[in-house]
Amino acid sequence: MNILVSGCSNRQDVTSQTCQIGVVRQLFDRCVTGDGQAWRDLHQIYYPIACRFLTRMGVAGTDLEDACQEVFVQVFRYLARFQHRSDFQTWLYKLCLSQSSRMRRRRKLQQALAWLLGRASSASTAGQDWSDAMTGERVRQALDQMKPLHRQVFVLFELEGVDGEEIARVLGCPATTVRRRLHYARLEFEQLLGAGPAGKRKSP
Amino acid sequence: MKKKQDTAWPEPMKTEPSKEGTALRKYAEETAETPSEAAAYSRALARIERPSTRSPWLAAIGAIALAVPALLWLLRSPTPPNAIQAPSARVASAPAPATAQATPTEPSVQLSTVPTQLPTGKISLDSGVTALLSVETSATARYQEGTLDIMLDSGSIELHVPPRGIGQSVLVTAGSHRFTVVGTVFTVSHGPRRLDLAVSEGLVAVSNEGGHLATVAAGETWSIALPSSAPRKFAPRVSRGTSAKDCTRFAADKQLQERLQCYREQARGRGPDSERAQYQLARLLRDGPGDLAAALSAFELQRSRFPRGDLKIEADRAIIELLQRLGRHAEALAETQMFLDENPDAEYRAEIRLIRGDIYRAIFRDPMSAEREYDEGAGADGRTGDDSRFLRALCLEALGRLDEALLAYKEYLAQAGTAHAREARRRMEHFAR
Repeated sequence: MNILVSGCSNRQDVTSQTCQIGVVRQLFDRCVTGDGQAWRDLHQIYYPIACRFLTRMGVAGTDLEDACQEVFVQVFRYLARFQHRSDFQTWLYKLCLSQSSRMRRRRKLQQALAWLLGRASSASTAGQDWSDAMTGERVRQALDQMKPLHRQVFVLFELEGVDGEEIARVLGCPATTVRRRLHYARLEFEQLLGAGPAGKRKSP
Repeated sequence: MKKKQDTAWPEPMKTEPSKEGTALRKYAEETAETPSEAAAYSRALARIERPSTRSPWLAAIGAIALAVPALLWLLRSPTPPNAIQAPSARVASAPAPATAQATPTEPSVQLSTVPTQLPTGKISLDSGVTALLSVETSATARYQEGTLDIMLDSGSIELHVPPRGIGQSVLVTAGSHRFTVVGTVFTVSHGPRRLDLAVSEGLVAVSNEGGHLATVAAGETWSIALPSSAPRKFAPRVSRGTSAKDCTRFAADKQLQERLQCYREQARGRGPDSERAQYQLARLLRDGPGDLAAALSAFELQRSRFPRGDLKIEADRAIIELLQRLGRHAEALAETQMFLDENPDAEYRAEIRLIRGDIYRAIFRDPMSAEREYDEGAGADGRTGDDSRFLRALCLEALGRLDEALLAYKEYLAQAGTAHAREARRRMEHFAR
């Protein structure tokens, strides 16, 4: 692999705390000045993060590539205006959340039109016998059924490993709101996964 | 004062040996793989180079919506469609029914192969093209061989060009430079020393006698310094001795027209002073004679002429406010969404969320969307946050989510100095009964 940023020898280093913020900042500055290689490095570092997060937010299939592209088109266009008052990854998560919301609205419209045209899928998973091999699929379906606001917090906290204070910055709401949503999201997830009565977990 | 939270965050579920933890770990592993990046980078770059695509569903609906009036027009037409004029004939000035940009109130200009002087203000040209010419702009236009050819001698022109067919281009010529467009929104300013281009949507190709110079995409600007000896037919009169401060010598109530004219003159150039003058002009139109539509146009012109200016966010906010006051709520919602997308770190986000919540709640009677917006703005300090928190509780109540509403009222009342404490207490008592 090519050296991504001077001082950060691999992707892990770049996204971790061990790599100095100034080095990443240098990468952004190079991007803003139109350095093609810097853009390529930025994309190489953050594309997998955006793509993985969008997948977990329910964007799939051909929509996924569109959504990832759109996020990076916005990054390319607006990086010059990014004022580094928050972490770049926080901003990236914000862009991904906006994009996933847009995709969700579009999907709903498509489903409504498909229903109107009599092309609604009759596939249902009700009563399906889940095997261990289907665990991942089961989690995905549970996430799909969660309330969008709960899903945002749940995915960020449980799957992306973002801490609560950072989630509050991503969502632009107080930490108490994140805490409350996480509590309800966990209950909802447990119920949807069919793991027994809600409320057995200690409230955060 | 906000309640301080010092409770530690819980451990993530996936670190636990429970059934849910195992399932989440498995799912996290499955979704950790991402598609190849090299090709994605190339595609993202290509995407920047082309205008945004619309959903095929929306395109289908749009096509149907456009086809119906077009069919009606053809049925009513006294001459068969094939008999429509040769390129040298006068072009029908009325905008085609399909165009969204041209509103019926705008004067339309009839074009022919002979150059026609364009009036200032907002006008509609051939096949849906809308032009906004600033004061004392000198430009002519003609229609030749499928091309709408605009000659900009001086001043500033903003064009809204709907997508056009092959061979139907729009060409703007300013001195020796040409700007070719297919479907876009952009502004060309031809000053005495500089030529500036600001593109809001789509792509614009710039060329001169030497060939292609640049391709300018949405959100980008392009400028060139002109030689001082460049011939100009109509030199813009920029009064250099007048600063933005000087316009205040005209009293806003008694010498309004003089003050407006002063700002108009200052706004003709480029740079921060002109942007400030354009902003002041728009504010004066709004606050002085209360001409909201004119003020809105002035703020929009400021935004398109100075897309990266210091006062861009102020213009965005003013446009949102004016759209609301004009009762154009759907446009206000679209505008606020654009603002939120473009300004992920703006300090006004909570205020914008509150406005969106109010529109959903009071205009569209949609408490679910309103609650979402208020929730986003609830973290703000001051009156904005206070209103957002109270109105969120109100929406939860309207949605029948009474437990959450009760919790929201309690959280609201737990904070000191709240503006709606009395009403919140009354509603909680109502719950208790």
